[in-house]
Amino acid sequence: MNFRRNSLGLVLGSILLTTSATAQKVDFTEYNLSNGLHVILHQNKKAPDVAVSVMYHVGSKNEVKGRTGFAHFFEHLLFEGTKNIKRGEFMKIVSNNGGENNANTTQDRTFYYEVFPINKEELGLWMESERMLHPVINEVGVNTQREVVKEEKRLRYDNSPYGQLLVKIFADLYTNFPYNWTTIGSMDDLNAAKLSEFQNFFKKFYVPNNAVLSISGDINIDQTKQWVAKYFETIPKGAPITQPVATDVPITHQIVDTAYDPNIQIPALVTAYRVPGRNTKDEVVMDLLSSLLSGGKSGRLNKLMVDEKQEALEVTSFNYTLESFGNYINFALPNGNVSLDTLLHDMDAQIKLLQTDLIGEKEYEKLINNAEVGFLNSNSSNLQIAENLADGYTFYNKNTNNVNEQLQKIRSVTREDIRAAAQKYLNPDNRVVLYYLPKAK
Amino acid sequence: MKKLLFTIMGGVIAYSSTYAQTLDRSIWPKAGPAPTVHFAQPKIVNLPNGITLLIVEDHTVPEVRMSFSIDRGVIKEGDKAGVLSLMGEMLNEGTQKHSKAEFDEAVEQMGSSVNLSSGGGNFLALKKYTEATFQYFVEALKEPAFAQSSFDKVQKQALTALKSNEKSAAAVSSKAVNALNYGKNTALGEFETPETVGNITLADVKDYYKQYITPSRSYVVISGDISNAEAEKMVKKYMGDWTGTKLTLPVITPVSNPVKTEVDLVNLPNVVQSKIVVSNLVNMKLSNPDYFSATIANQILGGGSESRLFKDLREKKAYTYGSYSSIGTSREQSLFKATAEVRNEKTDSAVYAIQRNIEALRKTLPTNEELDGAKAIYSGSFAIGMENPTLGANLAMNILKYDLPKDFYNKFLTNIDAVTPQQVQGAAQKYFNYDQSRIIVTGKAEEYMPGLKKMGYTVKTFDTNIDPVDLSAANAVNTNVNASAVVAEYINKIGGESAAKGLNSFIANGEVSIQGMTLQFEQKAMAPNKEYMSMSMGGNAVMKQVFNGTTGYAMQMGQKKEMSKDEVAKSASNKYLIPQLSYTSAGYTLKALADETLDGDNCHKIEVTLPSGDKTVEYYSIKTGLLLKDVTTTKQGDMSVETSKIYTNYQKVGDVLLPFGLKLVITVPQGSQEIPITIKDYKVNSGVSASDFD
Repeated sequence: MNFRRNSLGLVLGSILLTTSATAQKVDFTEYNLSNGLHVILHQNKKAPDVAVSVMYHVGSKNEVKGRTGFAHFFEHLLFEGTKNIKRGEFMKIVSNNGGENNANTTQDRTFYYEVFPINKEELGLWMESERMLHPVINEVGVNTQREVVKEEKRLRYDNSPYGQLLVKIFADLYTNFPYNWTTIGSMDDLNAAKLSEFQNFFKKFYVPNNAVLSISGDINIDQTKQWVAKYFETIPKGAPITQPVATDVPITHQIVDTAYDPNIQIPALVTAYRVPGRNTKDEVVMDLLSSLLSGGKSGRLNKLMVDEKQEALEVTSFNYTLESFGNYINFALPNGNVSLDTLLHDMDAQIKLLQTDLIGEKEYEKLINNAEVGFLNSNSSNLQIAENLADGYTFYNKNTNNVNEQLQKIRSVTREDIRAAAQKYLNPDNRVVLYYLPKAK
Repeated sequence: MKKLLFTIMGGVIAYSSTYAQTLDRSIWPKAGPAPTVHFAQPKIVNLPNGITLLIVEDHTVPEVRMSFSIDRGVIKEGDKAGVLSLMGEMLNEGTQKHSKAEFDEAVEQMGSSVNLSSGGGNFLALKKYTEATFQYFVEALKEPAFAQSSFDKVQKQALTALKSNEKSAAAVSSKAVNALNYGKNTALGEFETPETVGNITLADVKDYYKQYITPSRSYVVISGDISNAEAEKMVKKYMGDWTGTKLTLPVITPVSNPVKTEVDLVNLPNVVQSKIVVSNLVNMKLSNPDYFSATIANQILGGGSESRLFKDLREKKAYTYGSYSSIGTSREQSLFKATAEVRNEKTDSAVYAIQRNIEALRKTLPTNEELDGAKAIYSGSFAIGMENPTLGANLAMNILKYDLPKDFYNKFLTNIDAVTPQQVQGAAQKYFNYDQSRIIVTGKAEEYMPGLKKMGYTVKTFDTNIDPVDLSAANAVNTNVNASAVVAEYINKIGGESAAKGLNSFIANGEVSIQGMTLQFEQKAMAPNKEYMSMSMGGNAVMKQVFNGTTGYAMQMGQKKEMSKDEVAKSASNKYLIPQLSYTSAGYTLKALADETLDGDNCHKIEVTLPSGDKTVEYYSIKTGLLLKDVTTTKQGDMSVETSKIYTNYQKVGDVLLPFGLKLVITVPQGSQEIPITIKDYKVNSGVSASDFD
């Protein structure tokens, strides 16, 4: 290393790095209310609007066998109304005030939000506090939403081509850990549940000490703090919550399974590996690996199997990361009468290649570039920023600042890391091979 | 300033915490004043070659976005309509230095995206690749490859797209609305047809490129993590010495609304849902002082699901899934439109309802509640829309381009908030015509023409090329042609009655091409009425239809649907594999319609009414006597599905002539799909058994 010759370059380089590292920094204020509610505020003067969100650290993995589907059910139930918001009025209030709203549920958390013009910020806070303090959970609402959720299950799972694929994969990948079922859960469980069970589930999990109130927008921080205190401080604290410990029977040999779907004609081949979950270095490595295999038009699997050999109609590879474990999934549809085993063979050959050879410098650079663009675009709206901040606190060991460290994490992944991760995780004795076949009627 | 704010906030803090003690949760928080929008003012640099450069520094994200637009105005393309859009496509087909594949690969390598069009283009790049991406962009702009092979591909794609829209009510309606309001042969009213797109040559593309891709009257907008100085230097370096044709804005002669409201029916008989557009010309520049009141008036009338049209036509009367209105803003004339997609039988009622709603807003003041709701929805979506990172810079360009006050967008929401009920009514009277409108209805004209005439309107009729047409002539019996003789001649030409009746079964094998994939096609039929058809890939049936004489089903992508009673009855009524043999039987009626030309072949057009009451329209070549096409229309729920079968390449198989080329064209209101089938081999009167149809 010749310092003298490169010193100017180094200095300039470090200035540039500093500039770009601070350039996209998301500044935030965070604190706890006395009831344990974690509050994150981000002032973003870009647009005169605000995203008000609450992330409850409850998902399908907090459910118990025999009573699955609760967290997702609450995603619906908590729009039914509150002590001060009449049944059916919740969404109307939002739209009449120029806002947008929705909610979604994963295995790990449920996320509720409104986006309002900034002058309706207080309204949004009031609505979310109403929902946390005293939503109406009665027979009428439960019965209504049970029907709605059944329709949703029919639409998205039972009648949807490949709708059972993830359900099957998760059932195979996990033995005891509650990723064994997916968020939609079982309709029998929902039917069997008594009203009091729903009320108890709410009391246990939808409490300020299990939630993050994350707000991003053109807010006045002090004013917002006052409103937060006004509406949320009096909500009673719940009992402490213990999250499931991330352990399960290890996978020691390849699990081969076959599933049948009456909604498809073209079979699918899936390989799924259990990999590290959130808040691990390998999470980012596996993300990059999936981009290498199937990102854009020139991803390795696409290029080989779709364009060159024309043996697959579609091939995709993705890292389905959850809090306790990650799930690396490859999926391919055959073209014509190509056998599923041919697809398996070629997918495996590409993985073998990753385990043997380091990827080229140029390809590595492309991965990093595309990952950076993807990351930057993931912070382009108030809603996304609010969610990313809440994610950091909820899943990255209370590190709300994770959002600002993400780029550095991407850049710190080396070509060797990618090879090592492929060697460590993408092995036959750590996976499920699923033959997903059409079911004759 | 900071200190003052702190003091004020301190006051709020003290006040609020007292307030928190006695919080009444049943009282909704009051909204603050509507927010003002504060965009950063761009730096503006004028280059001598005509480029106006606008730079908005935004260092929140290390990315740079660039958009380039050439303000050429509205260009009349005449008999080469579509040439500008083809020229734009060609700018994405590689350069003199890089093939398309090389170009795309290089751009993807940087994580950038680059797009070009006839009006300019845009890119998104990481900060560090801004200059490299800009170079690629400029290369595509200044040195396009313009290869003949690329042109052929792009032209073919354009023709395919036009074809797939031929029978779409939405597409036909949109060209009709412009053509009828502005005039079919004007810059604003002309539209692309297969003829005009077919007329275009690579030389035309080059001419238009030379004329309209130029720095003259152009805007480069750069926003993102780049300094003003860097951006200016970069643009000057790569575009500073660029020269091109000097543009002047074409002058568009204004046209007038009709003296009295008229109904223009565009006949598209295949649809069961008509598209209604009540329209009139307006002069609504952004700088028009009425802009804000007209915007709110439109919001109240038909801006969304809380508006009057939606509430009346959908929620109250259930005529339609949605009914909306809009008012265009432009330097040229633009249109006010109130629209709905309505099932045929409610079309005249829906026209009446739309007109009543317009009239009501012109006659009476809106309620304060409506006004507040409209303002809230409008200002809310406007405020949220501001999150779009390129919007700020583009609005700054609008300010220059349309000569608006500098604070136009910053004061936008305040101005919206200031609109009064009187101004709403005034705007409705001025811009939403009632008695000088064009009510343009695209669909099955004959179904609602009488109803609309009864309402007292002058009714004009047009074909899908938006030329006046006399519909009564098209549906009248053509007395010059003997329909039975045409059918008899066909039977004679394919081998005669006894040979045709002797066809007891056949198997056809071939290939079908769908969305670039080749599938195996198999068809079996057995007299009198057993049918089997499948399209499969690698042995898996993708689509299958079976009828065994008493029951049947259709299966697509694993979804099985049993045939309905009506469908069974229809299929069961067949007596022969050549259906025309039945046409002389009781219950069938034949009617000759006006002759038509199909791909250069003059045809007799025969409408056949089956005993079930269903109709099929058949086209027989006058020259060869052979059946070239038949068309049937069925209803699936609220949607009409038109199936055309086009027969080509008749060859002798056994004793009869059978078509080896078969093209299915399935048309629904959203568009159409073509399924070309090539038969490789027919086997007649052997190899088929009844069990094949189970």
